[in-house]
Amino acid sequence: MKLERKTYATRNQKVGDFVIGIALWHVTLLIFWLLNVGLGIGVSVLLASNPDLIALASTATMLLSCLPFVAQIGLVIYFGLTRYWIALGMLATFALYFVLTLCAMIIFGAACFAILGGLSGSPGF
Amino acid sequence: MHPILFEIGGVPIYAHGLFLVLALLVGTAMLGYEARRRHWPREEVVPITLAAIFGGAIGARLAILFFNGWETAPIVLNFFTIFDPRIGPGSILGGVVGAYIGGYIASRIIGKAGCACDAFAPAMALAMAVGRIGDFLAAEDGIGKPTNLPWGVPAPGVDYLVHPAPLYDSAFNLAWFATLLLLRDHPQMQNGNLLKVGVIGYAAFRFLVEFVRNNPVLVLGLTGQQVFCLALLVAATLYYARQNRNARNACAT
Repeated sequence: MKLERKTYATRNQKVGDFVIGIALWHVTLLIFWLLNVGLGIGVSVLLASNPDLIALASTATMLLSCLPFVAQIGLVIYFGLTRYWIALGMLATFALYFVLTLCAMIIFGAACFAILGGLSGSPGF
Repeated sequence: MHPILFEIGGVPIYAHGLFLVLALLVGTAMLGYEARRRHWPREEVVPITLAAIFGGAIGARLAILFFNGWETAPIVLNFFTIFDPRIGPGSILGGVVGAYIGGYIASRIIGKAGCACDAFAPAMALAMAVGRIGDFLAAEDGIGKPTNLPWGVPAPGVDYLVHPAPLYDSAFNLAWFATLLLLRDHPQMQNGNLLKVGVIGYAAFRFLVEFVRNNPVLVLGLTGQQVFCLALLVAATLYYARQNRNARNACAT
């Protein structure tokens, strides 16, 4: 499949695609978050009736939670090759949230990874 | 140690987070300064830097799987936890490699001929020099192994002195930053070579400093970080050996 790269003629086109990138980043993550929540509810119901499936359920949950990695990397590379400013919008959104997270660590006190195994059952992880 | 530096209105200010943000600030400022000095256009600096942040954040997380084991997978592989301030950003080694890969892909996508990414090398060393002070104050990973050396420091939970390993890291990076500044205009340190040398130097130092850190042993008495550094050093050796061979062949023909 030959990917065709969009040529931007005006500033408005660039801004438009940049905004699409920001929206796309949020929409992608929202979809995956909803899938995660849905799967979590499904797994709870399933485990209530059949506790033996816990290993399968935790593997499925983990796989779904890492899908955004694949989706985000794939989308950024795809749009980088086709509609560059969408990719830039996605990257800028990621960087903004990442930097804000680092800033929040000033008052939250991040946990070291050596003890994270014990935190995996906590809510929000 | 001072994991909490002070409080503002009852809100604790954590050393680790504060120095992480300071590292980010000085690193970004240094990158901006170097990019301007090298006349590196904004149209290239911005996308490559954003891609480096993206790759670095993901690489820092994924490397934890290798260093700390599969039991961290439920957190490390959960994309949403990247934005959870209660969890550390991950391994600097994985971050450096991830950032390199991210920046490289972005360079190729924007069709950049050659590499202006050398501006990252001193910025990276300076940022690490600052960030490691936070690790020391937060007593991360128990700071270091026991020592009787005069500069040993007390660590929380033990009644003996330990190596201040994060401070070794910080001191090395400060010296490495100065070295990279001296090398930055050398003709052979252009076109990506300064960044490669920066990464290689840190990998060599990190391999050594791991002997006084508390990271878990992975194989043959070496920690995961040491195996990672060895792999980086081998890859760099092979790369430069190939470059040399190609240069010699070009001269011969």
